[in-house]
Order: sequence, then C-alpha cells, then structure tokens
Amino acid sequence: MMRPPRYFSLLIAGYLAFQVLYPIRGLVADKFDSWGTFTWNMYTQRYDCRSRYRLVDESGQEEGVDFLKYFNLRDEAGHVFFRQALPRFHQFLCDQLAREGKHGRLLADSECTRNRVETRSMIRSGVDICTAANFAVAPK
Amino acid sequence: MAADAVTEATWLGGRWNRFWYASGSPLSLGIFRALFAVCLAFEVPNTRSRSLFAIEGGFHLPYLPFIKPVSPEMYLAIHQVQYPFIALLGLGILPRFSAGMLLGLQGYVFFSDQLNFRNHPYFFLLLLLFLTFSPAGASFSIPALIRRMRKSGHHGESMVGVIAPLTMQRLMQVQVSIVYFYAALHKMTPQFLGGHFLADQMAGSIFTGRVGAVLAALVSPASLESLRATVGRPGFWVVPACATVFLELSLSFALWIPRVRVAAMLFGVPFHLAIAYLMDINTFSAAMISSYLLFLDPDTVPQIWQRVRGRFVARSLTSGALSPAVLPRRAPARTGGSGKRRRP
Repeated sequence: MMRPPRYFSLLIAGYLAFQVLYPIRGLVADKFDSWGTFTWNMYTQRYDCRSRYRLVDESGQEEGVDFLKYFNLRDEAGHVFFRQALPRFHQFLCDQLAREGKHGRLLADSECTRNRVETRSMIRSGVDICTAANFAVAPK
Repeated sequence: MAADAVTEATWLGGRWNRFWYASGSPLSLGIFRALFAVCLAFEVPNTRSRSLFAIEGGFHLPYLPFIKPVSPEMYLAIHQVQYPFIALLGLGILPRFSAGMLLGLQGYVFFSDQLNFRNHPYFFLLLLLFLTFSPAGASFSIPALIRRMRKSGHHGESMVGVIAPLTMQRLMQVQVSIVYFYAALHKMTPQFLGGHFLADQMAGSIFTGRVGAVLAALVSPASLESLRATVGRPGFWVVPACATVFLELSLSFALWIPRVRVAAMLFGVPFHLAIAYLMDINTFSAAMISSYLLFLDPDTVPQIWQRVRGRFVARSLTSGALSPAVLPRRAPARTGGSGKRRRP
C-alpha cells in the first residue's frame, strides 16, 4: 500500500460527497425547476414545451417573435424552459429585441409537460416579461 | 501520517487507506485507457454536432462568466485538435498530458454553456480527470513496451510486473457505480416503470434504427404494422423497464462483489449492447463495458495475459517458430494489490 498523500483523503471524500449527495437534488427537486444537470438522470424524463412570444406595439398590433433563432441548436432549446434558466433567457430576449430596434410589450405563453402527465404554465401570460418581476416566470 | 485526513488509528481509517491507496498491476487500467481512447474518438463528432451552444452568437447560459463562447472556426479547431491527443492517449504516449489536454478542450466546450449539458460527456470528462492523474501509461502502452524491450529484450514481459497506485482506478470504479445507482433511482417513477418512457423512446427507434432495416427485410408489411402497434403500447415495455432498473441498481453493487462480479458483467455487457444497438448510444455503452475491466482484481488481467502468452510461447516452441533464448530469464515481479498470492 502506498503512503497516502497529505490531505488527499479529504479531496477524495469531498469528491465522493459531491457525487453521492448532489444527484439527490435531482430526485427531490421540482422537475420544472431545472433539467437536473449533474444528477445522472439519464433517459428518465420527457419534457415537452409549447411556447409563443409576441411583441405588442403601442397601437396594439402583435408581431410574433421567432425566439428559436437565438439558439445555436434549436432542438435543444427546451432546456431553457425551466424556472431556473427562463429568467436569464427572458432578460437576454428583452435586451436583444431592444438591440434590434424592436420595442413594445413582450408577452409570452409557455406550457410544459413532463413525462406526458404533468403540465404547468411556465410564464405568467398577459404581462410584459421585460418589466415583470422575475421576467414573468411563473412561481411554483 | 499525523496530518493525513484518515489515519490507520481507526478500523474505518485502515479500510479507507487499504481501499484508496492500494497498489497493483495497472494493466487493466492501461487496457481501459486504450479502449476509452477509441470511445473518445467516436464521441468527438457526436459532441461537435450537439454542443453548438459553445459557438458565439445567440443565447448563452454559461456556468462561469469568464468562459466565453468561441468562433465557429475555433469551435471546429477545438474538436479537430483532440484527435492527436486521443491517439497519444490510446497508445499510452504522454497519457497524463494527453488526458489533461482533452479534459481542457472538452471541458471548455462543456462548461461554456449549460445548454451543452449531457450526462455522457460529463461522464467522459470525469474519466479524463482521473486518467490525468493516473498511472494509466505504466502498462499496455508503447513507452512501457519499449522500456521492457530495452530492459529484458522480450516484449511479452511489458504487460506484467509493474506496480502502481490504484487510487484513480478506484475513483473510476466508484464513479461507474454512482452512475448506475442514480440512473436506476431516477427511473423509479410510475412513468418509467409503467413502460411509457421506453414506449416513447423505443417504438420509433426500433423501426427507424438499425433494427428497422433488419425487420423490414424479415417481416411482412402487415406484420410490421402489427408489431409497431404492439411496441407502441407502454404495457409491452413494463418488464424491460423494471428489468432495466433492477439491473442498473444491481450492477452498482454487484461489480464490487467477487462472487457475483462475472455474472454481473455477463448481464451488463448485453444490456449495454442492447442500448447501443436499439437507442444508438454507442460510445457511452462502449465506455461502460470497457470500465468493467477496472473492477477485475488487479491480478486477474496479468494472470490471463500470462496464461495466453504461455500458451502462445509453448505453441511457438513446439512449432519451432520461437527460440528458447527469447524466454525471460527471471520471474516477473509480484503485482500485489489484492493481498492474494499470484499463481505460480
């Protein structure tokens, strides 16, 4: 047996603690909060979202926003539609539309279904996501 | 030893040290390193096509603000430049440096955006981390082969006789068990056990994937339609779903138990082959199968190697293809690690 390097056991114990304890979060957390990264939830969930963003100008005219074009990989855009990530995306969307010279109230609807059994609305509908608290992401 | 986190003073401390700081033959680790390099080579195009969030433009969700997205050219280069390091890792030439470089390159892409997260690259990154600090090049590598040829003048001896710390190998073993364990726990839901997930996932892939071509050739269109309806029903998948959870949970423990280890492997290998074949998850399946080598007693692979080599030498001597002069003059060093005596 080799002589254990000083403090190496602490490193191993810390690593093990993370690997054993952190994935528990994925088991107990609300599945609409996050995708469950680093929890080894391999091929255990199906997550389908139907989302629509639209810009309403002062005259009340609506224009659809193709939000998928802001993702480098459209197929994986669904990973954003979780409570933890969605405010960051909404913030980006508000800034981006302003940069593009598109102004008005940004309204959105998003319904996500987990494993085809549980459906929740992820965004408060009818409110401007750029000015609403937490960027209009629906509370639990 | 006083400053060590765990000392020999307690029973648990002694067990801990014997487990984590054991030494033994790194031959299993070396073979795993070579096989894992093959997995990495096949995984690069997959990751390249599925980690596009690392490219500049659009929305990003970085783990850390200082990890910036890269240009398309840089993104391509980050993937292309991995191949030489993968080759070096596979051959065991500068394996720690190569594993470290791969860890850095793949890690940058992985951590540049949370949307890039997939469990398989994450698992590969952890294995690369362990390989970076492991003596994986001490055996089953070109440098080891050259070293031994220079020393003894006989290449066969390069495979055995080396002793190295098994700490990183142990970490890999534990990681594999953790993957199995939590993969099983996450599947313990009514949706998965009721076959809904597998019906969704497999019903399509069976008919469009590799099996689809075979079925189309063997089965009539009417029977194929009937089969499609059957496999689309969740009830059809209840038994496979329950078996999957049971097997994954069992493997997380059984691979550690010598009495049932081989049986566990005999179930695990076809399980992963089925995943690879039916779900097209190839590199991860191959890496998991390869990792079984790490669970073998450190003496096992060298013993098998010695036995195979012995037969080869005996056959060569009989046929006259090998001169007795090339046989090793001294017995190989004891590999140790398991506390058992090597067979004569």
